[in-house]
Amino acid sequence: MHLQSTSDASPPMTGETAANLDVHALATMHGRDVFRAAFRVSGDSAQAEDIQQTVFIRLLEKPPRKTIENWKGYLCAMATRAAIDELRRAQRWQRLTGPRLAGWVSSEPQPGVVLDDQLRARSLRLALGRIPRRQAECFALRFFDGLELAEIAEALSITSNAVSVSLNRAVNAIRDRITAIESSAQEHSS
Amino acid sequence: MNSDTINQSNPDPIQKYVDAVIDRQPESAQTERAQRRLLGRLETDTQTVGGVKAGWGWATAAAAAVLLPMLLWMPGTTGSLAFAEVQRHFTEFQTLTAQMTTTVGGNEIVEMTIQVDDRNRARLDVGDGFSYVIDPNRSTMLQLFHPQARALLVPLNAPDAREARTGLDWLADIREFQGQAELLRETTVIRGRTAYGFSLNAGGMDMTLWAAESGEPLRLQLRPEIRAGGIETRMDFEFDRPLADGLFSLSPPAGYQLLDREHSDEALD
Repeated sequence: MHLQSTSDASPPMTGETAANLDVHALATMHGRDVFRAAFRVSGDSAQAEDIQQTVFIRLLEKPPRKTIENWKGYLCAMATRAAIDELRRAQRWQRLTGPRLAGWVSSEPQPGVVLDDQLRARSLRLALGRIPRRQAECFALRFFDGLELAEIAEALSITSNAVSVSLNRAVNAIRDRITAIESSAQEHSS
Repeated sequence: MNSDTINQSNPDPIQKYVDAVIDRQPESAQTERAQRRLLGRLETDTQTVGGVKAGWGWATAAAAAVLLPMLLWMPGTTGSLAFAEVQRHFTEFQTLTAQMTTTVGGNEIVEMTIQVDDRNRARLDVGDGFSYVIDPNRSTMLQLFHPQARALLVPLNAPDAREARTGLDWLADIREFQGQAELLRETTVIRGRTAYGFSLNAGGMDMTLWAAESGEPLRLQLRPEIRAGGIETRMDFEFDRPLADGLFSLSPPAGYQLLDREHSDEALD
């Protein structure tokens, strides 16, 4: 699997501090990457646009206290986390209102539907919204954004070991879900 | 460029799902349009933030003038203590009745009544369609399908019981909430009582909890999900209201056919 690199530092913004933060320059330089990062998780361009704006407005209102060495990675991680939150909110709403009533907004693949890429992407996003937030963040940052464990640890302010554990749990939980979907599709086709 | 697989030696079923996500990029026109809007928004917001910074001393004085009487007036000595008082109601009630209403674009689509007692037994009634009675002490849930007059008894550890139990997650989230609840400046009137709002994020969801001066929670509002079609959910609370006998009974009402789990698919036929 080829993953997009986010490990390149981004001069001239490297090491920028809150005091002289030029959010407009950061948006010009990394805005498109942030949009794409949000889109990978949400799969929805309108929502990705909202998240993109939220990331930079948040930066404007509350600049990071620490020195950021890799702005692109930092901003994409913010977008990914915000998009995971949106996924979880949508899932949460369905859980609150009951699955039978929420069926009209459900993106759950129905048994027997041919699994094309669009449906696979939707199923994976659905699974991401149903696992614990930290696990979902680790999974998306690793496999969608291509961050290394140390980069994820920095983005989430946790240890690399904690990232590793969360990632492992996320992969197992998502694998279980996907295996069930695959089995259902195969049963129907045979 | 990183190159990685989830499992190099054994092709993992997840791989093609991940590929399906990352291979589908937004159209360049969408990306450029978003970028233009972002820069436009930042132009506007930079000016706003700059203006606020320039008037920092004035703004602080103005905020203090508003907040100080509010902090003195609210129960407890600080906003967080006041919220603890609100939170206490969710753990010390004898009965809790919550009327949940969900609207999409102003049209009501779901109305649910949730009733909980001090033994953590709960009943969820969704319109005239169905009801769940959950008794954690007996690890059992009764599902009632009213139009079909059918009932199902389900162990609480069964996968299909999870759906109903997660419908009560909001209560656990508020009970266990330990973060910062921000007292809103504006007040509102709910059922004739002045209500004070707390903004918080519990269980990954942004919400506003409105409470009376006494700390009694009156209403919970889940923030509108604009991208989910303008969905709004709110719950109106009533504490310690006497509940009907037998409300939490796990026996099906008279005239209901009790299905065994082998035939659960027939419940809605």
